[in-house]
Amino acid sequence: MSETTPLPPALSGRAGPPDAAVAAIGVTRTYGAGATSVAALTDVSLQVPPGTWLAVMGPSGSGKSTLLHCLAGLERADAGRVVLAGEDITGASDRALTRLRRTAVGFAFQNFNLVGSLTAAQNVALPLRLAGARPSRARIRAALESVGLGDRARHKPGQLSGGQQQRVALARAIATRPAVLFADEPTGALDSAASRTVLGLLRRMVDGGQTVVMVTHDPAAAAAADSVVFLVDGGIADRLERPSAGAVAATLAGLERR
Amino acid sequence: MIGLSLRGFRDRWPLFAGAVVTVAAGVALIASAVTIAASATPPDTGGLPPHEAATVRDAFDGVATVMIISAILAGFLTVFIVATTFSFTVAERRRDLALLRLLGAGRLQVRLVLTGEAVLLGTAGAALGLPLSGPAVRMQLWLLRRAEFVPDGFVLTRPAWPGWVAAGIGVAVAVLGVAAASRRAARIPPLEAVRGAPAAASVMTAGRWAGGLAMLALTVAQVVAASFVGVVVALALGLGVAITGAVAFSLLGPALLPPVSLLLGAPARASTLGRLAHSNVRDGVQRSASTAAPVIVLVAMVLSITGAVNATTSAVTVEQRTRTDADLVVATTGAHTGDLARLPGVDAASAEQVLPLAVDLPATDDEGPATERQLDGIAVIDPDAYGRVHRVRPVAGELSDLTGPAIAVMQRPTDGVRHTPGERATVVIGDTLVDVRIAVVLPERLSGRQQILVPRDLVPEAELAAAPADVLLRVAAGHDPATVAQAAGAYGEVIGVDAWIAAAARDQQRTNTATLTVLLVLAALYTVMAVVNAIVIAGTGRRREHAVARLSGLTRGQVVATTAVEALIVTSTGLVLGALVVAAALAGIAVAARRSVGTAIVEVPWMLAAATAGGTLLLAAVVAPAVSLLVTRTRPVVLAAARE
Ligand SMILES: Nc1ncnc2c1ncn2[C@@H]1O[C@H](COP(=O)(O)OP(=O)(O)OP(=O)(O)O)[C@@H](O)[C@H]1O
Ligand SMILES: [Mg+2]
Repeated sequence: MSETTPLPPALSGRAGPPDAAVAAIGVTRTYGAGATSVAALTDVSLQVPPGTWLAVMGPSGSGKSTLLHCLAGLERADAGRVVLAGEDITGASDRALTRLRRTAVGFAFQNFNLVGSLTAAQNVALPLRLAGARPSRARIRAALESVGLGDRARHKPGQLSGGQQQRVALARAIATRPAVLFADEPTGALDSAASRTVLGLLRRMVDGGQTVVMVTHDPAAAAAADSVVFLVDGGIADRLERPSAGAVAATLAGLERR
Repeated sequence: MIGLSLRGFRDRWPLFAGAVVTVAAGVALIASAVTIAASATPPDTGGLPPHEAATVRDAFDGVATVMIISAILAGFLTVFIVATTFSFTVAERRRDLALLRLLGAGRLQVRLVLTGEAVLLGTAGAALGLPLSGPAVRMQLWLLRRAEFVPDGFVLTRPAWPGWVAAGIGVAVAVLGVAAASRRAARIPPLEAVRGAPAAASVMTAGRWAGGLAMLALTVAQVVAASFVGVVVALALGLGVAITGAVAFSLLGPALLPPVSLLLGAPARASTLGRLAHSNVRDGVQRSASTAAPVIVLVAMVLSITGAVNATTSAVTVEQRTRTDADLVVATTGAHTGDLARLPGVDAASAEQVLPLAVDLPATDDEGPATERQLDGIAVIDPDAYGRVHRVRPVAGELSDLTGPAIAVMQRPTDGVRHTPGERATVVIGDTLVDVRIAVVLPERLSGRQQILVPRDLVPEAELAAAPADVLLRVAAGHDPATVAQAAGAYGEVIGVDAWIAAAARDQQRTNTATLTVLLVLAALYTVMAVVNAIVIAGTGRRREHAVARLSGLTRGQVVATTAVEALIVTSTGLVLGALVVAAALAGIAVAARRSVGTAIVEVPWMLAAATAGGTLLLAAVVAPAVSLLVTRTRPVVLAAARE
């Protein structure tokens, strides 16, 4: 088995660690109240250095999605702090979070990534346009070409396959260049060939300086990342750096047996 | 933003079609109503005697008022339909809107997208509606003419400005209609875009309960209040109860629909398809409630108001019957009163004449004492004969006090008009002013025909003889009324007193009825549009659901049949809830009548009720399957597999 990296000491200072694109410090999130309450996250701390790729794994219901939502500012932590792109978003207003969503975060999910009434090119340009920018056609085209969809710019999501839709979502992140790209099971609905394409694209983006946080169930996908954290019952149980798919699978099996 | 609005509008046009048509109808009707109202400026009445001048002015004012009310009504009903449409689309697009938020749209931007769609909708509606304002003018004039509402000398002028005003109102109304829905849309959290299943928003929110129950309480309060006031408020009551009751049931719809449809859907559940239809009704309770709401409004408005008008007419008739003690009425002139009184078998003969008189009554306005000129409801009578054919119980004074320069005046406490004996008034007879004393104060009556009694001694004999007179005859005991009637026939047309009272009551209610007909036709038109709109929207939103149903083995025909049964269950639920509102309104009118004339009067417009129910059911049975036929045109597998 591998060593577990010690958790970072509780950080004080106003801003987060200067070398993290996104960091969680003692984040706790509980759903509901009383007897039926569910502790989805308990005292989770981690940091993702810029230009790295973190994979989050764990059994179903272990809190992976909740962690992702808290890091991206979609869900508020009950306790603890989240620092995103150098800004403490723990108590941020809707206006501040909206601004962050335009510039600092990108999203790619298993499904429902794209606005159905817009073409692929329009979807890629949407965050920039919402932010009031007028992206050049060349920039949008370049983003689509880099995911191999230069010829599908005028297609609507309904006319694209699942893998192609996922690539449009990545092209959107390439065009927007967010501080962190959040992906929740981006390969969950894809066959292995389409998965490999998407993972290859993500690797290229990370090598180009993009920070990625990705939830996945697939050891092969996790092995493509720089490091992997394992969640069990809302807490971090283990962490691997640059693991092989086999090591990931073994750790996962070990955790599920506990 | 504009681009997003444009695309949203284009992609969902079937959803918006109904609202566009409604705005078009609204714009056309507002343009035509304003055109007619603007044309209804009275001609120069300088050369006419005061009575005729007043009649002409009233007639023109009446047209203007009715048209302005119908323009306002059209505006309100359009807002209602646009609002329903947008609340449907926001519910259906929660995920898309959340995705916009996720990708960085601010709350304001989400509102702007929807408002942009509303502006497009309003503009499309206005563009369609303006060319229709010509036919709308013709239709409204036809309706007004049928109701004998259009005075002689009415000339239609057609300036351009009402069209532009109406177009502006059309766009404004669409923007107003989107307000609530866009506020709701702005509150959709971005997280909803990424959650597997969207959090099913509870349909019956606390606000909805509170609003519905408050409206229900208001409805009950009106019925209770009616029992203290009397039938004079019947019309206001009918309208008030219809509005608050319909709003209450529309708000409470999602809670009331399941139990009521359980009862009504019982026969349908005998078959498998019927059971499926019934569970669809309960499953899509929001959709069902939105379809039932305009049906409730339609039934409540049309039947409550008609019931109120009919009950008022009946109450006037009942009141006149109990207070009149005569058998026959002869339409003749003042010259023959004496002859009729002397006929064998005539116990009493009272001539009642309407002459071009005016009476200036004391009144108070903002600046203190003043006089108010009254031109209508003045009857010239013989106090002695009058007292013998009418059961009059004055509030103050006796009919026998009407000697010399004195008159009797009715008080109207509900309008704040009270009089005391001894007050001075002026009777205007041609060019002569006669200073008189108010000697008798009469109790308030529903009929406004005899608000002031002027003794015949005050009017020159020659004028009385020449003027038309209704002479009420009481036949002496032991004489055959038929014989007396035959003898009286020599002096004019003779009718039974009941027929005379009924005709008078009808005559008095004619203006009310005409106004209401004009407004009700409009309201009915709108609610029918709303019903169709709701069915169409509900149907188009179910493309995928239908596709899945077909994949699980239903034929296209069975899917269409299911939606027809569903629509019938929902419509009949709406009819039942609407009927409850009507029952409340009629109950209120009944207790009010009991207070005014001693008998509870219930006038159920059965024919109209049957026509409304039949018409709505037919509409649902035709439109719902038609929509689902359209929606199921594509092969199911294409749709069921399609990603969003
Ligand atoms: N909105 C919510 N209300 C109540 N409980 C919730 C809510 N969202 C998540 N939970 C609970 O929190 C826990 C963690 O959920 P989360 O979605 O983060 O799990 P996950 O690790 O992403 O699981 P999966 O792999 O199945 O997606 C689960 O027990 C879940 O039931
Ligand atoms: Mg998850």
